[in-house]
Amino acid sequence: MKKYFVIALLLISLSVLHSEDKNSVLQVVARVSPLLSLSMGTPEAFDIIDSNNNLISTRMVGNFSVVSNYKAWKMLVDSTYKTSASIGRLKLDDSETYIPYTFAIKAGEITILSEFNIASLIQPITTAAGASYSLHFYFSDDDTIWPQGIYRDTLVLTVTTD
Amino acid sequence: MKKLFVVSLLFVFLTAALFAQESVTTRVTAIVGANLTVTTTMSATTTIDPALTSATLGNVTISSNLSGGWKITVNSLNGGAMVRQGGTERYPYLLNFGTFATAQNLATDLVLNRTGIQTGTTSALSITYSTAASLSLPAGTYEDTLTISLAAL
Amino acid sequence: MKKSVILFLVAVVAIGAAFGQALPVTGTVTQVLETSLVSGALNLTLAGAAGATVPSSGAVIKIRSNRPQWTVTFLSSNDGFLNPTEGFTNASAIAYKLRATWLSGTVSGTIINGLVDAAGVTLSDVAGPSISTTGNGKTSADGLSYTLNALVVLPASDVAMFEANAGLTYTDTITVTIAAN
Repeated sequence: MKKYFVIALLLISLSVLHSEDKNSVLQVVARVSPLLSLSMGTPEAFDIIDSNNNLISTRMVGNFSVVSNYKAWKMLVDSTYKTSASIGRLKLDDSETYIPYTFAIKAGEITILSEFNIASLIQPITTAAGASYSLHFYFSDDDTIWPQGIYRDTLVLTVTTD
Repeated sequence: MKKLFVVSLLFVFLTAALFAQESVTTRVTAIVGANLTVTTTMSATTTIDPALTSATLGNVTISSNLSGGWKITVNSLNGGAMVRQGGTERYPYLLNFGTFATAQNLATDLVLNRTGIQTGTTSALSITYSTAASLSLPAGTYEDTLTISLAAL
Repeated sequence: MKKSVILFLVAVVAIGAAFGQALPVTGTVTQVLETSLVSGALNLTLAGAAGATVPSSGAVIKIRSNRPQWTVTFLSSNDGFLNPTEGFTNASAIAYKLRATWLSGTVSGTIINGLVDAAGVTLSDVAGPSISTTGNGKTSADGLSYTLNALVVLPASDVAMFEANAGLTYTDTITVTIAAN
């Protein structure tokens, strides 16, 4: 008996189906850490009268630096011995003798502040190195003989975004 | 029966400070140094008339900002006399210093001790002397040097 | 007694089919071209010394491809800048770089390092703005994983700093796509 072998030819076809490309979406989120700082060394003591015992009219008292990455910030100054918004006083140690003065805080040649407890002109964002300001005192001589000694005032400088 | 679980999500928003502030305190120190000043209307050289018995030297204005003691010192180079140039003859005189001293012999320094602040105070200086003839002084030029100085005590 | 060795010869004769019949068998191979965000996020806190480079937290991106040639692209929505969100009044946008560092996986037995320049590429400096790279070879089934970072260079000491505003951020959106070449 013959045996028949039947061999089937298999046709195999493959097709590739395109799936939808899958994309990813990411958010990049950055926050800027706020900075607001003020640094000032202790001003050096300065002579206030000349050889004729007259008050020297102008003195640059010291410099200070502010670092701020707030868009708009302001400065304020207060004086321990002030008598008004515009007049401060230097007090003679161990005495009730006072020398009055007016003052200005300047950015370069521009005065940004000249009254106590009244906010300065709005200041812009600074560089990382900071913005520099100078403190100036002004005296008006009236032939008063000022007693020899050390005269002082304490100032509080504040920078604020409020 | 379905059970529904309701989950409440509580969001607590912590708002960062809306303002920032920083302050520094600094002391401003000014020095008023000791200041003793003397100014004068006296000429560098005053020539007196030996036929007279007095001469005005001029004014001296003195101020002080010392709260403590200080002094005025008047010194005569020749101890209260004009000395003839090229010789040793002495022509004595006495000093009047405003209200501080009258007919002061300057054989030794005149020292006027003061205390406290003195605003500019002007004193007239003059001298009194005998006429040259009465002293039988030889002819010549007689001179002395007066120095007025201020110092703290 | 005789001993006999009997050898069985076995011949297997393939007999040709009396007739053949084709049976179609159909198979389907699904194309795989995909990217996925595995973990992490690109968050930056901009603080530090002037001129310093600040990296973001890392996001792990996975790429899978059974196509031999493919290109993956990172596309910025904001022209390569982190834009200030609503609330700022006049803040400037911030340029930033993008970097992808190989994490795991192979491509036909070869690891591709540095999918994107290891130092990061400033997106605002390139066309698109986008960064793309071509892969030669199919990835493993687990795909290629990269850690993605955004980097920001802080302003120099003599240049105005980035504006701060409590609660507000600067943002961009990166779309990662993959396509067969």
